[in-house]
Amino acid sequence: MNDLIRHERQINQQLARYGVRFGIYKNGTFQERLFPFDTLPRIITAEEWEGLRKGLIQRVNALNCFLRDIYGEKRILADGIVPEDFVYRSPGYLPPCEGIKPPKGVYSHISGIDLVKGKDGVWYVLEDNLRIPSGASYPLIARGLCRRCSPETFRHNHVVDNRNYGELLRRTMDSVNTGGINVVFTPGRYNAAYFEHSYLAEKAGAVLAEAGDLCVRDSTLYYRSVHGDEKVGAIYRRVSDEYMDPLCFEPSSLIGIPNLMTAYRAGNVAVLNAFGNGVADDKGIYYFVPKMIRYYLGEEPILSNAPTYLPIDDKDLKYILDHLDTLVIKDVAEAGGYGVVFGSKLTKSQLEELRQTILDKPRRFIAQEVIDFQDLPIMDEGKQVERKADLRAFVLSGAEETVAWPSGLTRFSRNPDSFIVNSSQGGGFKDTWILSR
Amino acid sequence: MSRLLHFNYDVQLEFSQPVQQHSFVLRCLPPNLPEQQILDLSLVVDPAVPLALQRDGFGNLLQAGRIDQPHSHFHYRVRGTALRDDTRRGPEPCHPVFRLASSYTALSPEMKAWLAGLTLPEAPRDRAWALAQAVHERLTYCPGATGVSTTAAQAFAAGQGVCQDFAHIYLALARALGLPARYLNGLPEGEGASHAWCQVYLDERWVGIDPTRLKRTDESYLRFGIGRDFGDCPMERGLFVGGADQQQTVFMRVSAEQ
Repeated sequence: MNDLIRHERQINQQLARYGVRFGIYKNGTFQERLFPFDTLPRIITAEEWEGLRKGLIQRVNALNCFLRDIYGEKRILADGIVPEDFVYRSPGYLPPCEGIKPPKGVYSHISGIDLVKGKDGVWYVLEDNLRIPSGASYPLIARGLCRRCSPETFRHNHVVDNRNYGELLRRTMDSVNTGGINVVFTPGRYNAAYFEHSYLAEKAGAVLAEAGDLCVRDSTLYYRSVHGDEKVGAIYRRVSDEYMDPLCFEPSSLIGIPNLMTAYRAGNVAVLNAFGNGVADDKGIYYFVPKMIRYYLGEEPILSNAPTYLPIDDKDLKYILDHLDTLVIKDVAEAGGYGVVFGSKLTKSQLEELRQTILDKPRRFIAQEVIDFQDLPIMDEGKQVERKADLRAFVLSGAEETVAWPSGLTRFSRNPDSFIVNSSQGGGFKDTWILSR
Repeated sequence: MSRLLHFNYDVQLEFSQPVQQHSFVLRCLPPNLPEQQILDLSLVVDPAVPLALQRDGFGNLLQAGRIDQPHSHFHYRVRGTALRDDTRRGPEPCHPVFRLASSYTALSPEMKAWLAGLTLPEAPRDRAWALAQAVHERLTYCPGATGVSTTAAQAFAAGQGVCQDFAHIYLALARALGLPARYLNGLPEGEGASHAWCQVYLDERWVGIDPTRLKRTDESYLRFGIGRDFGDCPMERGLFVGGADQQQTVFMRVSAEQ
């Protein structure tokens, strides 16, 4: 392990050379930053992973059932398990997707499930990301560099090899492919995640394409290669729904493929992930995921949600109002990190204001307990310190099976008072080791 | 009373310079419905290219295609005959999205205040009609004052617009009153241009209201698309490569036999 720590600088230099960066929006401008890598891995034992793995697969399977149901029969709404408003008021619900059956019925092919481990040792799911979760390339490339710097470390520790991600991605694409080549669709080289797009395309043996390389004719998606047009059977797109087809969604999009929706509707191309998945990963729907697992799979949820309360339920409402100063309140209508309020940070009058807003618009909010999650050690200027960290696990769903990648992206926050200059805001990442025994 | 409608709908787009790689989606065909039986229908597109005939998420017929070659005109022509009979319309389900505001129909504070100042009857059917009267009175019909991307709030602030704006404003207000309502476009009997109107969901049935003409719709209306607003069912949407100006000429005629 010391061997690895000694190589921290070299590994980070290599990562910078590869262009391992991430983009953040700050004060309305877009900035790219290096993503600092900390060599101390998060370690998950074989036994612990077995529980996580089963729980992740179960959760993603239920979410896929939910998406199939919402854009199809809507049984879960008719049976009153999920209130209609939570679905139809969600900005991620897309009426143009009504009635479309994606190839093999898979909606969320690549799911990023964000978890934290509580001080009680229990893993809690904080968020499901079913649209275009990013970040798998970071631990993938970092692992490669670590192995090169310190082969000894990996000879002596029984770490499950995670370098099969490209193969898993390829299998997932192949299993839903409608006949034709696999394509990774990127907004272009100026996108902050372009490195990841090109890296994953290479690892999965897919063609990296931009809008100008693709066109839809006769309800079929084609890639314009030097040999002529080639039919595309599966497209792993790294562009948001609203920009994908200017003739169906946002008309001003210049990075989309006109009439892609026509090819998709005709069943001639698999789109990874499907359009309209945002309805299943919204803050309000999160509350219902354990209920979905029971409803669709007839199983008890293996993974826990953070304890969540809905103001539309009388008992929950009373609890929320009694504990407003210790809960996190989330505005269901807001996306990303917006509309999240910690009760403990509010003044008395702000709390009163929030209380009134919740009473006026109970459907707009959910409330959650603040999870006291475990700190992980990181090396900071040669000293070991403790920092908050989460884990994004990647789950891949193909036509036949759902698998959890035995790795993941562990992100940690840096102390804002620390005097490290190059990434004071964004935090860094670690490798995630799953032990084989 | 049932009516046999013969309809012609011609649209010609002329480009000042040739354009190419032209992808388009048309929603310019009337669907076959209990109250609207399509007896005869043709669509001709020039330049001729293969068309994908599909239904969108709202059940609208759509026709998609692509013209790769340079071309300086795009012409589509619809001909057909429909038997309209509103007595054949039965109860229908209502998709919950028609209860909610949509991108074109978000309510502005100004609209909200105006709505609060109206005295409307309690019974939903009367309420729906009284609202149409109020909207019709509030707005001035004025072609050219608004565009295809004008929202209900913008048109309301301007106090004027065309059928699309009348419909959007009506939908925004009706939904705010708790009446599910949807946007329709198609052809009314007569000559001129295509039209847009609304339907309100009352007693499990969709009831047509035309706030522009202040009319309960009848068998003289031929329906093409439905949606939450214009954005869900434009009759034509296209994208091409080329910096040309375009000029559109529309010819429409619907004549009736009783």
